[in-house]
Amino acid sequence: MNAETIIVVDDEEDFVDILRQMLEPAGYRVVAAANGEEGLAVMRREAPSLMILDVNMPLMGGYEVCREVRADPRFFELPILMLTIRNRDEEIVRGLEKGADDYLTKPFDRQVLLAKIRRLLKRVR
Amino acid sequence: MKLKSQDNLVLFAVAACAAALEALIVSLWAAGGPGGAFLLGMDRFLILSHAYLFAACAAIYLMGRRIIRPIDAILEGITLYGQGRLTHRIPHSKIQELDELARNLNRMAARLGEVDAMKNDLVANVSHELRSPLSAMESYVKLLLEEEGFSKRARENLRRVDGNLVRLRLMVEELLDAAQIESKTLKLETHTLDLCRLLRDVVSLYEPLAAEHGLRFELLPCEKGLTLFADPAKVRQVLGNLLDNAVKYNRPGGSIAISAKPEGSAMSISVRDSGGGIPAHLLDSIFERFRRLPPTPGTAKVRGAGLGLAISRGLAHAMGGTVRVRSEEGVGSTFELILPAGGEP
Repeated sequence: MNAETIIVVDDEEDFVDILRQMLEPAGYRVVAAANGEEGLAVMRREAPSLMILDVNMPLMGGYEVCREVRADPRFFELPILMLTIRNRDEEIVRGLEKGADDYLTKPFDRQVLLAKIRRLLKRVR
Repeated sequence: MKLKSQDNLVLFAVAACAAALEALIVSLWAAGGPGGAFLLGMDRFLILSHAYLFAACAAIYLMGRRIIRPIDAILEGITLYGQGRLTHRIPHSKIQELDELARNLNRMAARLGEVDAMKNDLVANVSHELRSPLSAMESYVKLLLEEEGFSKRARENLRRVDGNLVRLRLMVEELLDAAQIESKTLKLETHTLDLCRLLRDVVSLYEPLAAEHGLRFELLPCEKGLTLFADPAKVRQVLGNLLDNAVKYNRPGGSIAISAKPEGSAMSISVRDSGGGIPAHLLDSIFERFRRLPPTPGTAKVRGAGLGLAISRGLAHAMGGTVRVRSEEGVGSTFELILPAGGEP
């Protein structure tokens, strides 16, 4: 079976690791990037099926990455699951406006994460 | 009635002026009266001295007013500073000493304001920075709890670590909320909201918690078409906090009732519990920060940092409303959230 690749863009190593531990046992291949620019480069190289993107990152933040992804003709349909810290309405609204497809707040539940990913992947297929 | 010094001054000056004026008229009359064909030195002296007296009284009145006005302004300023309104500035005065006093008080208030802002920034930054590692720890513990092969004891210990991490995270979030409310950096997204629908949502969310604690939870009939003009997330936060308290401070087998009614141009949402009530002398202080009453034994655990009601009232104020409380010992407490009514739904 050809494992689907998910790219995780988060400057916090712990959350990259946590996501890896949650996603790999479910059969996904995880590639990671620690900032926005690196995230875009890795995305173009690996052509993942889904992006998990942290909103709060130094340098190139999540919103900007969102915009860049949507502006790229190869990836404008890539599902983006945005990660925010806590339920901050303004962050969630802004992320969805910039092109994210769904969001999760840290800390998140593994089952909820997997359900959201399955739904997003089914939609593009 | 207590007279202010300004009023006393007016009374004194008017009386003195009247007396001087009367004396002046009497002496003038005496000078022009019988045997007054030629003014005697004594008459002249009397007229002049009374004229001077009149002028002096008027001068005292005017000068007194000039001194008392700025003192009143300073007094008003100090009262406002005492209430924490540190952005007020006392107007300048033409009297040098009083002007200096006013300027120094203004500088003090500005400095207090800066220190307050620094404290809020510090709390906001620290709690913001703490959130991330706490979330990571919580996630790791949850991953551990999913593993098999732990002894029963180890699993129980992990569950306790998890519970404490959740508590710690909630406290940090409360601190951040409080700091944002105080520094007025809170962002609100206000809309017209369907009040009854909002209440039904909140009730369905809190029913399981109430049931878990053996409490009856009812939404009293809600009149259709009632609206609020508020930030939905913040209203839910306030109601959630009031309901948390209603569970925490209830008696076993008690009840919680939630109801809504219009009140002038505002809406009043009441959360009534059947707990032990709050002693009258504590009613004012429960809205202060870090104030917490002991919960009813055997009910929910105390969570958060004791900022819940302070935050709730702060949020209500930010939306143009308030939170009030009525309580009767042994019967229960009713917390009322007052918010501006909205337009057409």
